[in-house]
Amino acid sequence: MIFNILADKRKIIIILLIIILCCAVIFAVISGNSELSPATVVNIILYKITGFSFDELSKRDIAIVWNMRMPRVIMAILAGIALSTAGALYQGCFRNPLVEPFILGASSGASFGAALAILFPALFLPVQISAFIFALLAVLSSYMLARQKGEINTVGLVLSGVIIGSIFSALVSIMKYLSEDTQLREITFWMMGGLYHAAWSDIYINAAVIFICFIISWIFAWKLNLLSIGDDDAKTLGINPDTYKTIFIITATLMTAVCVASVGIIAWVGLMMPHAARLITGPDNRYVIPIASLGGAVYLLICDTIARTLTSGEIPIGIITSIIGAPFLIWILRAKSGRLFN
Amino acid sequence: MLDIKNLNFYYGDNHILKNISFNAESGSLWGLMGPNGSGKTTFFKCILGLLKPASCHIKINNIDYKKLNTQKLARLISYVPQEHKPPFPFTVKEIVLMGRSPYMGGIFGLKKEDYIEAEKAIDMVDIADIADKPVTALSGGQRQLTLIARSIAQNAPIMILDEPTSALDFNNQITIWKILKKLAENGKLIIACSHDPNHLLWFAENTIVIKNGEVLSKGLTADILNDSLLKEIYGNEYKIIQHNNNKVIQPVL
Repeated sequence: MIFNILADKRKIIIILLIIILCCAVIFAVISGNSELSPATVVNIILYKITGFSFDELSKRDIAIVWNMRMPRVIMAILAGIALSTAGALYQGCFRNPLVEPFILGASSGASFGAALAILFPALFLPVQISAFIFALLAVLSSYMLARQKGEINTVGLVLSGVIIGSIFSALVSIMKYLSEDTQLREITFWMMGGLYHAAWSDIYINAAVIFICFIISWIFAWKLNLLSIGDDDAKTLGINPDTYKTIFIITATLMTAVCVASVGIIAWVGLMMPHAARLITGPDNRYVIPIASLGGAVYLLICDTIARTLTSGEIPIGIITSIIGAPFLIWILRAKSGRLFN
Repeated sequence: MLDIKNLNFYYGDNHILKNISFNAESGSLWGLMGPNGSGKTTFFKCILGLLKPASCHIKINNIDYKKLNTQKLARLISYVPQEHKPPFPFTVKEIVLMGRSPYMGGIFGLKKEDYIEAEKAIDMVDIADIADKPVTALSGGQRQLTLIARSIAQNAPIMILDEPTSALDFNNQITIWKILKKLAENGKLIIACSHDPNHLLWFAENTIVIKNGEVLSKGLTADILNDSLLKEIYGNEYKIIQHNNNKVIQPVL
């Protein structure tokens, strides 16, 4: 048998990662200034989900677990899923394993939107909404710039992403130059990313968008495989490359934008996790997407827990993800490059 | 089966293909030959819908080509492109399985039948020993065999191959042409181009010759392929030598 469908190791890896994610969730909720036992945490989560509890639970513990720590935990998971999936989608579409979710200017656009809202709070929309709108606007401009005669040239798209990104970066610099000290500090912190603003109200919107986009990406994962081989190959195998490129770019961009708007710019996850997944399962996106998402969720959860517990203050998560992520990528480049790309 | 009338293609101001008409029936193996830059790949890409010709009337099984969407077309024509290295290390079996894409539906869409067809194709081209290897780690010839297996798995009545044997060793070249001949005998229409006119002489029942974007000659290979045609194509002297029951083309040195 060349194809062994039932005994597929990759399915076991997915289940294993789900278990690791559950453990990471409990670990993250336990960690913090107030000591809580794992049993209390599990009890509170079960109580909140099912409305039924075995033990007496103190109101204070419930408030810490459910109102303070859980929103952050869930936001970290959602951001991990969004950035990793978007990374896998962009890498497949661009046929380039070194592409990250911000390639089309989403991050610079979002930064500009956020800076605008911080600088002119009276005139403008809230930071989140403004960041979201400008992230979409930046990607849309890159896309329109690269689209010629109804066809999307991949190299042209990367190039227009760089152009749009640098325009928005320059605009952010102007904003920073014009801003006062407190605003400058706020803009800088926003750009380093962080989950401290996470609240249940954000999570509902994020969860809905990210869940739908993730499902769409996963359903079309095989088509992404075809697309990642080449436009001509994809077309002779029965899919229209431009249609699917558009679907994937819209999906990836929506996920990235909604996530960036809530947590700021978190680097590395979107670049690193698809790589890690490919290392484990090979390049089949039907497995890369779920495994990268779960890996990204675990990774961000751990990074965020470190970010809020390592010192008495709060370290921006972008710093942690880069410090841990960079050595990993160096290792991939030096040791495994032959297996990952040409 | 395949009916092409007045195919014209421009690249910018360059008139690449000039009024090409061609028709072929199922169950035949056609060879396409012509010097470098004569428009062979462009011709193939026009038939496959990868390039938009300025004018043409293509009918497949009497269905107007323009009425077919990408998926329906992929069920009718499969393509073996010139060998290329994909950016991601898919394994041979994953690439072959991609040949089943035009038949997929629903979520993920792979059925048991698809795995069986892919396995048959792998066995037919005899690459089971490298089935688990990533294509990026293979030689150009092995990648070519993989693409041929993918096209066989696609199971379309028309199969188009762009220099399928260019990177293969002598024995594999012959093996692939034998497989193509067998597929044609089983009812497929196969059009393959090759830079070795001997291949066409030995295996292709029919040949179409393109030079400077025009059809120079077409018909039964045994009838049209002769010393004067070779001189017309390549500009130098070649001789067809009869050896036992076989013909061989030799350069006049």
